[in-house]
Amino acid sequence: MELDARLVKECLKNNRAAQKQLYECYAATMLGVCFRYTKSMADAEDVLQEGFVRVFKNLHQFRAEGELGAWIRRIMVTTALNYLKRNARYQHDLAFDKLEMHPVTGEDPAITLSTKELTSLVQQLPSGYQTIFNLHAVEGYSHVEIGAMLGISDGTSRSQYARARALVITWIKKYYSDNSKPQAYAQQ
Amino acid sequence: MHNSEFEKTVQEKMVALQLAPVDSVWEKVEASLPAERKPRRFLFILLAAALLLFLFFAWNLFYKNGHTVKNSRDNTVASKKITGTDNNTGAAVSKQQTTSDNISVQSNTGGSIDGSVTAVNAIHKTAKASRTSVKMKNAVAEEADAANPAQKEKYANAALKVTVKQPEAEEDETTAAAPAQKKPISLTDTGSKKDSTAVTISKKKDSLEIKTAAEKKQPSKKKWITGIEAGAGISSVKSKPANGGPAFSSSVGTPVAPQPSASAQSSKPSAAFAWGAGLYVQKELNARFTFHTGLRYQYLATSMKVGKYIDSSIRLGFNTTAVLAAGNYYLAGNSTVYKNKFHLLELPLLLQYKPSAASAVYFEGGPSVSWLLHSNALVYSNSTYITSNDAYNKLLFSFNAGAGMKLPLRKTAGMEAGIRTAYMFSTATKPAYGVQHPFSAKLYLRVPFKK
Repeated sequence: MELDARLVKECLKNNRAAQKQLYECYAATMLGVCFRYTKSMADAEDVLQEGFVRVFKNLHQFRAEGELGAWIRRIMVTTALNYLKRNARYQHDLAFDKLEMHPVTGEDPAITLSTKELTSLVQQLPSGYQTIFNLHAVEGYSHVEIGAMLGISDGTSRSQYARARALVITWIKKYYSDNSKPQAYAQQ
Repeated sequence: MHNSEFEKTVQEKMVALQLAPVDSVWEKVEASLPAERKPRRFLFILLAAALLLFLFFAWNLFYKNGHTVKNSRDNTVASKKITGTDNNTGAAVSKQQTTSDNISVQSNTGGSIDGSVTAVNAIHKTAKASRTSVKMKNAVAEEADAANPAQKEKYANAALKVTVKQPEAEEDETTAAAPAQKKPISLTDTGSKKDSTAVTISKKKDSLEIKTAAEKKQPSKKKWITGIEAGAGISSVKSKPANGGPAFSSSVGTPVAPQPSASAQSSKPSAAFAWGAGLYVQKELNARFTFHTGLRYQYLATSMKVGKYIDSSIRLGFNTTAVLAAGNYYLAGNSTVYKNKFHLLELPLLLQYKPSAASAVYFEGGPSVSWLLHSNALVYSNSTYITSNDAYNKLLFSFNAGAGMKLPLRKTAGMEAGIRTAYMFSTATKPAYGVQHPFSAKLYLRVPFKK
């Protein structure tokens, strides 16, 4: 934490070396965060770039009491969400309103897939499902918080998440059973 | 926090995802950041040096008249009153000065003499004739040794001899020395090509040279070397008074023949402390010649004895056309020690010559151009000493000659020390007011800026 504080102090002095060091410390992890919300590496890198620009722009607001990595992650998530909202390719997949309510399944299968394989499965979800799945399952936001972030009700967030979860579990089972990748989900 | 194992596992696995971004991402981020301001160290040093020069100049300039009087405060007439004792009668004698050029002398024994500057001499004559002498406290000479004729002569000539011992065995880099004469110590850097990193250390008479094999094959790129230089020594002046013309003259057209008394003989200027500091820039032209220039502040001074200080305005004629006006002046005499000061900004253009490429010793010489920032040097016409800005030439030319050497120690790498003499072949004062050629000899040290 002390190292982070010193690094932040140098970055605020516009020390280019310190800024590059901060970027190199967190770039790999944050690209992973961005990749989970997007459909391609190119989009993920765009979000990463935009996110770090916001990090350096708002670095003066960082309070040394918190963890720098967590603070940067929050900025990356927000940046990713904004990117999805304004990007035409993702907009139709973010429509939450017309889907039916589905209860959460009781299934709790063990996951032996690697990180990459699991990420690949989640990426197959429609953007709306993918976003809510990431926000709840990975980032740990509550449905109330997700509703506030996305401008939807917590009920919609809950149902979206349940559907996403069910799909992921189905694909995992299918992956195990015939070792084949699932088809991309087509919204009915 | 998740209760379900599924969510926990998903979280663990997906949080661990790390991917390497392409280089262009950072480049784009960097392009959006504000430009980094690199510290301009050189500019800071330059400003610091300029400020230092300005402070020294301002401090010296504060003492405008250079009036150095020890134990003889009574000589000044700031309060326009001089007191003393009459040796014969023991009575107090006071001298009062009026607002005009007139000086009035009153004696308690009676009688007062009023008169102009010319009348002062008359007072002296009268006083002498009547055996009434006013004993004034004498100033203690600041540099009594300098008044010694033998030393005066030495400083006046300023013929400083510089001898440099030539190295007994000159080593030329291009010729191979016999193995018996020189025993180089070879060090090989492990893990790298021997040809490029093998270091040969050969100790020569006057220098310790370390070069890698690569440096020997390829001559190093000649760069401008900058640094600071400071020196201290002594200065004196070769001078002669203005040709012709009267000494005392309160106005042009009324010349009065000078009548100095024997006891009022003033001394010629003698040597005093001199110093200089500034920035230098030099570049190797080839193995033996280096061009040296820079910008230096020079302080030159001489010392002389003059008579009483008169705080009264004067217009002093030097000839029928040349007249100088001043707010004060000195009479002939030896009661006051006066320091003539020259503050100069100098641009030297020197050429350094090394007897051999490997020699640490060099000789340097060349002209320099100076701008006279300020001077309080007295110009004199027989019995009156005066200082005026109009008496000096602003643009001055000197010739410099000296020798130095690069200090051989590792810690002092790049530093040079030496001695330099300078003679101003143009006169500091305008010919109508006399001729003054200041000259100096200084020891100096040059310290290059670290790269």
